[in-house]
Amino acid sequence: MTDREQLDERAAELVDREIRLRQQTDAGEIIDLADYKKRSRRAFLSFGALGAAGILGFRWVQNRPEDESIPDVLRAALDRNESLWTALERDGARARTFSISDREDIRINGRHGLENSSRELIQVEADEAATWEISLTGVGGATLDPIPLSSIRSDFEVHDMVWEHKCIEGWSNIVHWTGVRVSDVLDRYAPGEMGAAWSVLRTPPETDNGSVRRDYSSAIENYTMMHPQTLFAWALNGDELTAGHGSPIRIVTPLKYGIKQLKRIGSIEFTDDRPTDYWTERGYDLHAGF
Amino acid sequence: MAVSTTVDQADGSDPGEVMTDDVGLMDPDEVVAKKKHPLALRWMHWVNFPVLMIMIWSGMRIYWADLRDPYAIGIADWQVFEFWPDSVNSALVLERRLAKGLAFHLTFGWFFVINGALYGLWLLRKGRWRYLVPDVQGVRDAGKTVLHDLHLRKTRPPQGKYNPAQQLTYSAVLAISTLLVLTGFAIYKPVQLSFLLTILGGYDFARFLHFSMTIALLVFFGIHLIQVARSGWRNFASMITGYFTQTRREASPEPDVSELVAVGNRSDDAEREEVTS
Repeated sequence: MTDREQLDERAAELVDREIRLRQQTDAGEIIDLADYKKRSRRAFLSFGALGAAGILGFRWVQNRPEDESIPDVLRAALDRNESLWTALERDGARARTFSISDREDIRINGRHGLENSSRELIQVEADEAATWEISLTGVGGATLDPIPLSSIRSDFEVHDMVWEHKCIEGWSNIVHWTGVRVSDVLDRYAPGEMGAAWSVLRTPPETDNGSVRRDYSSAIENYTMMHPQTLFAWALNGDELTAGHGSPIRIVTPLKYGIKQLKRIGSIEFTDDRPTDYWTERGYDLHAGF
Repeated sequence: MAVSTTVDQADGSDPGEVMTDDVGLMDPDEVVAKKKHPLALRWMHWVNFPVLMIMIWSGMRIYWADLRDPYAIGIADWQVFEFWPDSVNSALVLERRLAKGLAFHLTFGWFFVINGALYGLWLLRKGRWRYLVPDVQGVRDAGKTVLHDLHLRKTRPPQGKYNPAQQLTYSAVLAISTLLVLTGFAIYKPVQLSFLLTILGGYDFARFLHFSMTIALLVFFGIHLIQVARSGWRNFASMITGYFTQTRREASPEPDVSELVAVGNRSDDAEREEVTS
């Protein structure tokens, strides 16, 4: 093929391409101006109506009565989301774990349930920790035998787990927890309650060093409580928990945001009714899970 | 090989055939309206606009809650712009609204997902993705469109429904939106969708992608508004009515094969009629 022929061929291709491109717009229906004006009026009226409906709809959502601090329709949407994700839940789904050398420092973020009336962190001394108990309330309100902290620390297999701790504010840190599986403990102390849907964990209203300014609570689905990566933990990054991180015992799980991982557990109540908790009452998703 | 033969083969018929008789009898200067945007496209476009506004606004409320303000434009310690300045936070009522931000974001996100899925299906079903995705020549020509828009070049490259720069931009917006949805889901359900999180480079990186794609979308939105303003009222109205008003002559182009052949021989530097986009 000569250069000339190659050029001709390239030119033919470009012409071909341009004709194809033009066909994209050539096929459009053509109407006269009178017809256009009619259709245009209708289209603009519809557009205006839709725009108005959009604005009114948005204001309607914003002005709905609040259900736990957010418009009720948004609360319903959050619950619906969670039904969907629960239905999609894969058995055995595990959060990614890391090696201990990956662990990072983590700041104290939430102090709810840990402060006295002058907003100082309440310390739990060794003697109080030695006799610490998590009180249990069964479905229907029956008081069960409490879980002694000494039992948690000595009667079960100890696990060290490293995962990414995620805050609902957006930040995350890889942290290393030491503790025992909640499922192991509850299998012994509350075997009859595991058919219930929820656990509600609460900080103790009173400690030896004073009363708590603002009680904190966290509701967790029991399928998450019983997950093998959900722990009662007493050490963070190899050190005993400080007051700000929830001494003497807290719950941790990589399946929930930090707001659910209650520090300094005082009591657990089992319930089948949809519960609420500190942050849910303040507008957050009850489930707040991954 | 004769060029005219190629043209006939490509088309199968005289492209002007349908119109020739009608146009012959009609005033070529009469203003008529020609269908430009199908109804489905207009619906999806205009539903997307408020949904995206709600998503960006509620997303900014969520971002505000991370008091570190982790993202900024700059090099090392030298920050040109921090997301977001206090003035923006207070003007858009972003402060201390994390719970409501999340509630709106995780509700209205579904509308964005559904609308986007419908659009994707529609593009595939109607074959419209061909209008949108540039071919190799289109990618080469995109810069020429930009130069033409900046008045640095007299001619504009050949185009179909969208010019090459539009094709590149709109394709990028499609990719950005897809990435936004994927990173959104990955940071929303990082355990259940852990495979997605891994593909997207982990929690922190997925979060960074989610944020930067939003900024990219805002940049697009700015350019889009400027271009719409430049293109004038008839173009804007066509996104609402579906029809673009023009003279009958403009509406019924009779591709002149000899002109196109000449165009082809002159490569793509030929003078062309203005096609408003």
